[in-house]
Amino acid sequence: MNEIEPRTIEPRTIVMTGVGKRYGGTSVLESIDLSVPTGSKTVIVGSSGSGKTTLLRLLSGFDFPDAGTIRIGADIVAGPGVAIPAHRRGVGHVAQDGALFPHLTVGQNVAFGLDRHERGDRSAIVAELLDLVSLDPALTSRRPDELSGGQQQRVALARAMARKPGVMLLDEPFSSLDTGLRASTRELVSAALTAAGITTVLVTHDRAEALTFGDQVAVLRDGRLAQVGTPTALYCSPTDLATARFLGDVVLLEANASAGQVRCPLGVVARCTSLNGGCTALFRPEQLVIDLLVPGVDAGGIVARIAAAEFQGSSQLLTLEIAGTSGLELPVASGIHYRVGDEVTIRTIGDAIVFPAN
Amino acid sequence: MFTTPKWASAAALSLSAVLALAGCSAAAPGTSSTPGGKPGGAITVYNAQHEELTQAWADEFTKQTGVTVTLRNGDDSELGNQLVQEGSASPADVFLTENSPAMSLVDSAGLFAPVDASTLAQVPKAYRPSTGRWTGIAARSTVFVYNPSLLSEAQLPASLLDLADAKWKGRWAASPSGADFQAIVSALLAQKGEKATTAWLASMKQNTTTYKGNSTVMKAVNAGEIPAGVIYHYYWFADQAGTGENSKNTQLYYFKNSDPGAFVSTSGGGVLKTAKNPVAAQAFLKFITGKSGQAILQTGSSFEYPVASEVAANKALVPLVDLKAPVLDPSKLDSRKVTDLMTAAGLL
Amino acid sequence: MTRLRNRTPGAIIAMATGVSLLGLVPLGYVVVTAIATGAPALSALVFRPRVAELLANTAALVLITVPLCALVGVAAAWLVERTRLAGGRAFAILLVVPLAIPAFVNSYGWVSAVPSLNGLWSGVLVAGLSYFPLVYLPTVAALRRLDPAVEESARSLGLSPFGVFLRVVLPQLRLPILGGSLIIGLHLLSEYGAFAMIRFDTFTTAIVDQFRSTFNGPAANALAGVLVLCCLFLLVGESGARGGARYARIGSGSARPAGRSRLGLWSPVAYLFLGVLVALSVAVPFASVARWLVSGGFAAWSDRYLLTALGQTIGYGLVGAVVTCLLAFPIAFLAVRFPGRVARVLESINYVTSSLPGLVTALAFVTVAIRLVPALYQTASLVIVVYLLMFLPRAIVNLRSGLAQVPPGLEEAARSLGRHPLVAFSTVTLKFVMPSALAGSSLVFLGIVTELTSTLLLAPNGTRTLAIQFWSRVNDVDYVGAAPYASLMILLSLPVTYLLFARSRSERAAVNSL
Repeated sequence: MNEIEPRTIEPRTIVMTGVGKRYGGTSVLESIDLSVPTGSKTVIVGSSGSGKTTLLRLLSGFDFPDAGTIRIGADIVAGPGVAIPAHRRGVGHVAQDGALFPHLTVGQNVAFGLDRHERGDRSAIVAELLDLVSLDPALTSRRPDELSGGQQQRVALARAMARKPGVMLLDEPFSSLDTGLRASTRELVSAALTAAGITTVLVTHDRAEALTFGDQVAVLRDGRLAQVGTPTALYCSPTDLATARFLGDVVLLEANASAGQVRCPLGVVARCTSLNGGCTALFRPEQLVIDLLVPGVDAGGIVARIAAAEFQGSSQLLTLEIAGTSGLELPVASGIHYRVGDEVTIRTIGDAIVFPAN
Repeated sequence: MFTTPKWASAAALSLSAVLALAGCSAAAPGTSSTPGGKPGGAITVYNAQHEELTQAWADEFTKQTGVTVTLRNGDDSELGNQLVQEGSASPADVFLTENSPAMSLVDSAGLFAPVDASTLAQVPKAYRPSTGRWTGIAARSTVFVYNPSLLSEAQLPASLLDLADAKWKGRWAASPSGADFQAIVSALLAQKGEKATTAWLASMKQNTTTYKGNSTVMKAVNAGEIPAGVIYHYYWFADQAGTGENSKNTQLYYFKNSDPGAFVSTSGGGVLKTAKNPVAAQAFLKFITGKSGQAILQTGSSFEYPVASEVAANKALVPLVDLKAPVLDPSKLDSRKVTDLMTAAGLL
Repeated sequence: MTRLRNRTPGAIIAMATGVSLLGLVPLGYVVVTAIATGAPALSALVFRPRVAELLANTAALVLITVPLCALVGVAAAWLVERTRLAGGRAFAILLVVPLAIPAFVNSYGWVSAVPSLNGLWSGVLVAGLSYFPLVYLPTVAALRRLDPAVEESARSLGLSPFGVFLRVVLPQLRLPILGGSLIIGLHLLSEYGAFAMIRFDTFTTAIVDQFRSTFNGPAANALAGVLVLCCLFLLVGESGARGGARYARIGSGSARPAGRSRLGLWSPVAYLFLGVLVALSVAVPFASVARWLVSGGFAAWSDRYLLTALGQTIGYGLVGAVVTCLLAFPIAFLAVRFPGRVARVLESINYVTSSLPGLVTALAFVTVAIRLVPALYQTASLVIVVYLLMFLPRAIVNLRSGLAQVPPGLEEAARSLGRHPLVAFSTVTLKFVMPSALAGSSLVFLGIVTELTSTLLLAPNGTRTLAIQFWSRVNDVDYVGAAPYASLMILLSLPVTYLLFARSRSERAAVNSL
């Protein structure tokens, strides 16, 4: 059996090939192919039930796949005839709630995974690790239940880093935190991991997290990987409507493609040779810019009338009628006060993404 | 969730339970019979005798007189001391024991009413105290039960006192927490005095394997766990008359020769001064010492010796006169002293 | 409205205080009799070889049996909850069944099977087999509540499954193990019948012997005093060992059940362990009872007192359960709604009292009734009072958890809708509390059905409960006649035992109140 016990952090690559997992009769994961380059951060994003936690558990060694192989660094850790359990994988794991040991102090938690010969100067190591995750060393003697959620998560990370793992797996580590705390904790964790250069896989259902945390994003839907790529690629060029919707707000317009041009009420919005006839044009809201129509001034763009305006705090949701047909809903910033009946012009920035009509 | 019908049924159940409890305690207090007339109503008997025997007496008495008898079962000293503590508040009408020391205890507290002369007339003087405040109702003999496969006839002790010898260490059993054995010790005390008794009890602490109850002692001897034991005779005869399961490998040895080990213990009965139903209580005592009451000892399964109304013992038993028991005044046997000495010896 | 809610209700405090004052009677009795006996007489009664002998016996019994029970209980719980043994569920149920067999019935079963049983090791055997579920059950409940993510984290930190158990699971089981061990210790101190039958003398058997010989003489009282000290020693020891630790589950966690280990080659050993455990703790007593039932045939069931005993036992059980639950309510209510020092003191008095052997409580009330309240002497009411004090915490613990689950806004909502506070309370809160009240009452019922020692002392004339009749038959070595009584006690206890089992598997706690 392969003993993987890294002493210094040597980031390792993760390669999953044709991985499948069934529970009972239900298939949870199917033919997953994913590789996470050394030292990079990959986010696996999906709604609940998409199989993302299962995928992470297969990587950490708490579960084993029914099909395919998983390779971490040079070693096959799961595959036909191979099933290396969690404690022999040298993989760090941070659970949803941190899963700190309730019977141990913060310091004991962090030192838990240290090897025996490291025990001698363990208080120094603990202080160093706490510093790495920006925690006050005064917390060392506290009990986990005396910490805030964000602090708990960072202790959990420090604890996992103590083992100097080549791979770090994070299972929705920020989802139980308050909105404000979530962003700051995420930044601290991300910085710590980048500094250590550990290959990281984060699982989340939060699209903001997905797009900001990783170098690579993998969208998981119904047990299959829908799309893998950089955050920009996924946001700007989703390969299907569901992915597009999942990663951000969308404005959908009925369109028509002919002779390589895609035409919708906003005019020609994209070029496309592969489609012909009815299709759907997709804009991100920030691609659509509206201005109050000043009579006599041609600002360019398409003229629309405001049919309804709903105040939503920092933004407002406008329902716009273009040429007497209603239905375009567009969130805009709250700065300008729009009234029902006002006429506006709509300008587009960049091309629309076009999908076949369904 | 819980709907009203379940509540209702639970309430009904508890109510019926309360009623059941009330019913069983309602039977307890005696309703007095017509003064000077026939006994009636109910009596409460503090019974330290074998429950089966007293129940047989009570059933027959109820059949003859219609008096309801409620038993409180316990041990001689327990019930005797309880009566003393309860004093005039005691609900008891009658007290029956297996041995006389507990009777003396209650008597010396002045709690007994004089026994009706007609009752005393049925009982020979040897089996009742001269005060006439209680009377003997039955008798039982001390025996040495042994397992012949572990103890030959030649090895049998000549006297109970020999059992203090070191060679008997771990070879004889008794039930020192029971009133039976304590009565035997009280006879020893009366016969040989405090110093000898204290010494004997000290060596007994070393030598004896203690069991709870004479039946258990006999069972252990029968099973070969221990060669011999000191018990009363009727446990053996009762078992022999039945399956013999707990006595078939054993034999009885009588010390005779007026030895302390040949002690014949008198079971007593008395009527409390504070009896709620003295008429029925006296009638019960008279019934027990009368022909039909004593006949239950002769023919029943108790195998205790009858002592009154000239009823002979069960034919299976060695006749009482052949036992050569030491002659002792039953009213002189001191149970408190005995428990004190046994407590001091570490047997209690 | 707010003022009304925050003012501690006087009537409830009065009731709770009344019950707790009653609870002080046994301790007060021990102290008062000790003073009345006087120092010289008392020291003569306490500092004698017999007491040293009893102390050695009792201490050895507790020191050997409790760790053994903890070991067996935790091992069994782990095998049933955390391994993939086939038939785990069947074992899970079978391992609770000993709770339905009163220790003195178990002892009877063992003495029937092996008549020569006697002394310390037999005591350890019989008591251990009767009481190990008291650790097993809360451990199962705790294992099911542990956050599996915590164990997984330990795995990912490089610990083998066994290492995880030792360093992560076991420390988190400290509270149920300590709690269960304390209860076993207290049971060992107060059990009479089981040890009397195998001729093993403890303080309790010696007190009963003294009682038999002297009623409530000074020697019995002196022994009772030493026994009470032993109990207090255990209570203090347990709370010291428990320390300030509270291992709350941090965060919400998921409802995901914990992973189960494959035992592989160890499976036969595990089966052997569980099989032998079930055989010794369940099969032996059941087989003995069955054997005597068969040899007694139908005749044994025609015992004239059988129905009376059954009726009286159920009657005492039901009345005792209802009364205990009703009187536990004010205390539980104060503890949940008005937590503070008053509530804590009132509650803990009852825990201490119920930890005292029933025998001591009974002795105290016999004496108090004779001397001070003759009207209560030898009445069913006095028996109920003693049952109340013995089993009150079983009801309090359950009612507390029930009351704590009542959504606090609900009653106020009912009041804001125009309901009188009392009406609001009874329509809203009581409805929520009923399941806990039933659970608490069931546990009290179980306790009463199998209670022997204090019932022997206290019962009104003519009382014959199943336990009393059973004991009287056994004392006459009439094992055949005792069997129907034994089987009825087991039958009455089985449903409650199943309830305990079910609760150990649900999220509700309060298994630890036996």
